[in-house]
Amino acid sequence: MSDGAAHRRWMLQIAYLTLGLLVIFVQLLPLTSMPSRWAGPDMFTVLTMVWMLRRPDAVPLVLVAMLGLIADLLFQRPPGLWAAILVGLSDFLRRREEGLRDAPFPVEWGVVALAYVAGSILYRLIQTLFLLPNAPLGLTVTQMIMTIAAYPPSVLALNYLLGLRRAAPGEVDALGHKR
Amino acid sequence: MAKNRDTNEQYFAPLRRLGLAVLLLLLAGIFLIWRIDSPRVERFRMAVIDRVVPSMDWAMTPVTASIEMFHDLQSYARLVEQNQQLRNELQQMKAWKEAALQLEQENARLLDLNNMRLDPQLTKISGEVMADSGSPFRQSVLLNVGARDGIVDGWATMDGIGLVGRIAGVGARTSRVILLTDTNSRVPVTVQPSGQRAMIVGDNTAAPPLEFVENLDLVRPGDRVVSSGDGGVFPAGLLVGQVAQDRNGRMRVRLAADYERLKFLKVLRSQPAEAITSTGDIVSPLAPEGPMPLPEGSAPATVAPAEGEPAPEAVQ
Repeated sequence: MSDGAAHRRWMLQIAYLTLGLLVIFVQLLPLTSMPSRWAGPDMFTVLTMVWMLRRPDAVPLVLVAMLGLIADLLFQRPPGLWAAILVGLSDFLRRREEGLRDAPFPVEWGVVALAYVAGSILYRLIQTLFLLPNAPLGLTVTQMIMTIAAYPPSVLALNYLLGLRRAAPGEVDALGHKR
Repeated sequence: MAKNRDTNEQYFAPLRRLGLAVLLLLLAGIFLIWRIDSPRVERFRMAVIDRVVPSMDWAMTPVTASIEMFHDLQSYARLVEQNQQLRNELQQMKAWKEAALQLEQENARLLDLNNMRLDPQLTKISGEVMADSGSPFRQSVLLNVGARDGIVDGWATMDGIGLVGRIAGVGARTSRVILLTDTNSRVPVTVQPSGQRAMIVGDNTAAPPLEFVENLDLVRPGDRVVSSGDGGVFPAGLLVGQVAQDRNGRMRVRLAADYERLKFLKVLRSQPAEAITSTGDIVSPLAPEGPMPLPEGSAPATVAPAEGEPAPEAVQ
């Protein structure tokens, strides 16, 4: 692999790590302690999904698992549960990345939405199974809707900021490898 | 080249699948261990938070401050209207202040008459809020005081006015306060003036409902709610809030603490009340083997009657 491509991969990996930590940091800011009726989007998951459908080679699953575990620990969630689901989601998406390259965006969005909804339902199911208290349904549903709605703007923003885009069909890297 | 890549794929795919399985097993294992031995993993979680969050503090404080400043700027638009409101409230407050001063003097006189001593054990440690729970599903805040400041799990936490929550999780430098609004929070309270015992059960809303009230008819909107000290969880008599009725007719508690801006909290250093462990030592029936020999020179104990005296049952 050429120097330029490797460099870019490193850069994208570091960008993922930085953005992930930034999202966690922003969520921890003590702005208000009032319980709210609706939940914001799960930006870390959105970030991971965007990366997995664009540059899955730049983010190893170990990194996803590590950041997911840190988020679980910091956000008082059952440690490891959402991280495991996130890793599963990521692997599901990265295996479909090649097939989705020339699909129109709504199709990609649909796949992401379905995958996220399935993950959320699985999360609640496991919580129920292990006799853990579930969050109010309204909050989970608003979080699902917000997360799915946050996907297209995130894709756009990351495209402009980092040039993170899907590989065009037949695109090759500097050495002529298929990407 | 492409062929080369494909052989790579064939070679690496099983490895990759193995890696995925190992990762998933590891995470599921952490979850299972947490489910089985929650206290140990929670201690580990507190240790991680203790390492991570204080190191972010240098960035957190300015960012929070500037966002709050922005919010304040927005409210400048309503300055005149607010000013008028404040003036009106000030007038009312002056009247209340006069009443409060009179009551304070009266209270002091009455306390003096009764020779009353307030609980000397109730001292406090103040802490600053560093971070919140980071998730809309959990209501808790992180304080910058921890085990090295002598914080102990279970102590009550107040802001200037009312009860905020209890300590749950202590790190060396940080401690977590579960707020009364969290779904895991249960606090025994007394409703005054009727004296009804109840529980405040957090349900992720701003005004948690009152449950297990003995007689709902005696509870009216506007009644004061204070902690009851039942079960030894909290010291008794801390102000919690006021009773309010929601649209479905359910009794809820409007919390006295200002949950919009939790900035400085005080942790009440409460010692557990002396427990009476056995019943026999206080009013004991006469010992069957006869009166106990008393040590020379000691005063006769009230429990064991001295020789020759009539048994307590006979004294009426």
